[in-house]
Amino acid sequence: MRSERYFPYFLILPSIIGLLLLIIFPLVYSFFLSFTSFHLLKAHSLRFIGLHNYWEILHDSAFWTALKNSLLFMVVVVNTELVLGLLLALLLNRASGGQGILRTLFMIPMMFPPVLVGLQFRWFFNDQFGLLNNILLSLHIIDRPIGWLVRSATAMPTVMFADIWQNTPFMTVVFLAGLLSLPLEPLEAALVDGATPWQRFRYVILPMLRPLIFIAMTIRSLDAGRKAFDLIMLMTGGGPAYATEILGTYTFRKAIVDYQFAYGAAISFLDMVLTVGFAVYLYRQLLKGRT
Amino acid sequence: MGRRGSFAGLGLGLGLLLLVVLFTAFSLSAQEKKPFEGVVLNAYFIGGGAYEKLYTKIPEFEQQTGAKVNIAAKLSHFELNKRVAQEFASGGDIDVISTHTTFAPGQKDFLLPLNEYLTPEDLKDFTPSTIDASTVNGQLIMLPRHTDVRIMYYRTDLFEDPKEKEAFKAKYGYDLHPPTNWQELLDVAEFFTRPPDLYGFVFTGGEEPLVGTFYELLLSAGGNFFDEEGNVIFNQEPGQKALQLLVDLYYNKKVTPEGVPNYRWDEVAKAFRDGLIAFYFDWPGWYTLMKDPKESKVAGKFGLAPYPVGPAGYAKIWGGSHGFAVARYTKNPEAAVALIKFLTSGENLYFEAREGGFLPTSISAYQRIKEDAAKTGDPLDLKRLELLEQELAGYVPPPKIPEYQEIVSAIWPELQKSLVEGRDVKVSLDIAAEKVRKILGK
Repeated sequence: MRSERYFPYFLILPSIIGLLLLIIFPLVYSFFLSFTSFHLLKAHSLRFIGLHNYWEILHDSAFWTALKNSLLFMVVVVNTELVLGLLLALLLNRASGGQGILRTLFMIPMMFPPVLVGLQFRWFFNDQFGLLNNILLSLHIIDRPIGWLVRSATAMPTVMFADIWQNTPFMTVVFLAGLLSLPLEPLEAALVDGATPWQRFRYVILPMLRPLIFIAMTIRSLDAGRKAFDLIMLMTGGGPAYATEILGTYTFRKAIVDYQFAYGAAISFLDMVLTVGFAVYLYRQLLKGRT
Repeated sequence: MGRRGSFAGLGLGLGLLLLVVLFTAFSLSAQEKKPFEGVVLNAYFIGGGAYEKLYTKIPEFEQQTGAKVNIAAKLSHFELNKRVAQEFASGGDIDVISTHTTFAPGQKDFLLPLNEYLTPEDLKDFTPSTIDASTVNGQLIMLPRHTDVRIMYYRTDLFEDPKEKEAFKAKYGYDLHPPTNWQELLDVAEFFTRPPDLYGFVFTGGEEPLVGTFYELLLSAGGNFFDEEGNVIFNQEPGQKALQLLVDLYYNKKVTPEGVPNYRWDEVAKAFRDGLIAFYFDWPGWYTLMKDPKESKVAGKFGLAPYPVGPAGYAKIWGGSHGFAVARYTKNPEAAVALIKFLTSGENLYFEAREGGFLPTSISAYQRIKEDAAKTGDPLDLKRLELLEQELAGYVPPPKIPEYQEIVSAIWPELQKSLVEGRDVKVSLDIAAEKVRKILGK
C-alpha cells in the first residue's frame, strides 16, 4: 500500500545520494567558486568578484587558442574516425574467412587506457630513439631525426594520429554491429534492380545506418576531449607553445599547476556549457532523422 | 578454602609488583623529563631514494626529545607541494614540511618565520648564500639542507683528441677547450654537431627548466627579471641576448637534438650519458650515475668545468636549496623548530651527503666530504667539489615572490615560441613581460 509506493524511491536513494555528493555538489560548488578569486596558496583569497574571471577568460589569448585547438581536434578526429571506421566495418563485413580473429585484432587498440597509448606514441615519435625516426633514417629518407612532437606543424597531427589509432576500432565495432543487423531484403532488391556497389552503399546502407552514425558521433564528440587529455599530457604536454593545448589541459594548467582554482573552475564551466550545447544539437539532428 | 587463599595471595603479589613497577617508572621519568614528551609532529617530506636516508636519523631525535614524528607523506616535490597546499588551505594538522628555495616564497603565507626561534650561533655553520636564499623580506622561512647548482660536463675523449684539436684550431683560430664565453659556446657546439650520432650541446627546452636556464643567461648578461622597484625588465637587451643565445643554439644553428623543447632534466642527462652530446650543463647529483659503466656510455670519458661567462663578464648560476620549514599554525613551534635544526645539523648533513652524494649547506659537513673525496683516488671527485664550492658561494635563487610559479607558467610558452618557430626574441619577451605585469598588477 503506502510503503509499496515509496519502495522504489528507497531503492534508488543510494544512487541519488551518490549523484548528489559526487556530481551535483562539486558542480554547484565549482560554479560558485568561479565567481571568486580563490587561489589555493593565497590565504584569504576566497572573495566574491562576480563575472571577473569570465571577463578575463574572454580576453585570454591562450584560452581562445585552447578552444580553437579543442574544436579543430574534435572535428578532424571524429570525422576521420567515422570514415575510417565505416570503411573498416564494410571491409570486415565482406571478409569471408577469419572474420572473428580479424575483428578481435582490430579491437585491440581500443582496449588500452589512453595513458598507455600516450606513452607508446611518445616513444614512437621520439627524436632520439623513436621507431619512426629510426625507420626513416635507416631508409635514408632523412639524415637527421625529426622532432615530430616539438614542431608546431607536426605536433597536432601526431596527437590526432594517436587518437585516431586508438578510437577508430570503436567506430568500426559500432558500424559492424549495425551492418550485421541490417535487413537483407532492401539490399537484395537493390541487387536485383542492378545497383552498383556504390549505389547500394549510398542509397540503401547509409540511410539505414544514419541513426547509428549520429549516436557514434555524439559519443565520440563528448569523449574526444576527455581521452585526448591523457594523450596530450604525455606526448606534448600541451606544447610546443600551446600548439596542442586543449581546454582540458589548459584548465589543468591553471587550476592544478598555477593553483588558480577559481579561474580553472570558470574555464571548465564554459567547457561544460559548450559540450552540453553541442550534444543537445547532435541529439536534435538525430531526432530529425527519425520519421 | 585452598583456592580462595591462593587467589588472595596471587592478587597481593601482583598488586605489590604493580606498585614496584609504577614507583620505578615514576622515579625514572622524574629524573629524565624529556623536553617534548608527548608531542606529536606531523611531517610532510620529500620522498624518493637518496632523500630518505636522512630520515633514518629521526628515531634519534625522538629518543632525545621524547617527541614523536609522524611522517604523513613522502612524495616528489610536484606532488608534495600540492598536498601541502591542500593541507594548509583546509587547516589540517601540519607541523613540518620539506620545501625548497624556489617554492618557499610561494608558501610564505603558511610558514612560520624562524628568526625569533634561532640565534646567529644556530646559523653559523650554514653557507651564507643558502641562508640568504632562504630569507624573504628579512624573514627566514626555511632551514636549508642541500643545494643544487649546475656545472659543465664535457667529453674529455672529444676535447682532448689531437685530431679534433687540430681541426678546431684550423676552423676557428683558437685552441679547443671547454667554452669560457658565449661565442666559444656557439663555436664549440657547432664544431661537434654531427647528427644523428653527436650533437654539440643540449638544454631543457620547456617549462620551469627552460625558464631557469633563461634566468641564468639573463643574469650573466647583466639583467634580471625585475629591478629594485619591481618593474619588469627581462625583456630589455640582456634578456634579448639570453633568449637569442638559446634560439641560435636550437633554431638557427641546430646544434642540439631536435626534441629539446620536450626535454626536461631526465632527458638531457640521458642524452649525455648515451654519448650523444659533447658538453652541457647539469646538476651535480648525476655524477655517480655518469661514472657507472653499467649505466653510462661516457664513464671515464668526461670532465667538469666552470660556467662560461656572459656578455656582462661574469657567470651567475641559478640554483636552489632543499630544506625544511615549519607550518605557521603548528601547535608545537619549539618542537618543530628543534626537529628541523636536528635534521640540518652539521653531523646529519654530512651523513646525508656521504650517503647520497648531495652538496650540504653545512660548512663543516662540506669540508668533511671534501676530505673524503681527496682520498678516493679519482682526482675528479675532489675537483668537482671544489668547483661546486665556488659556485655555491654565489648562486642565485629565482625571484623570491609568491607569484613566481605563475610567472614561469606564463612566460615559458612565449620563450618556446621563439625556440620552435624562430619568432623574434624581442616580440616574445615583450609579450611575456606584458603577461607578467598583468599577473603582478592583479
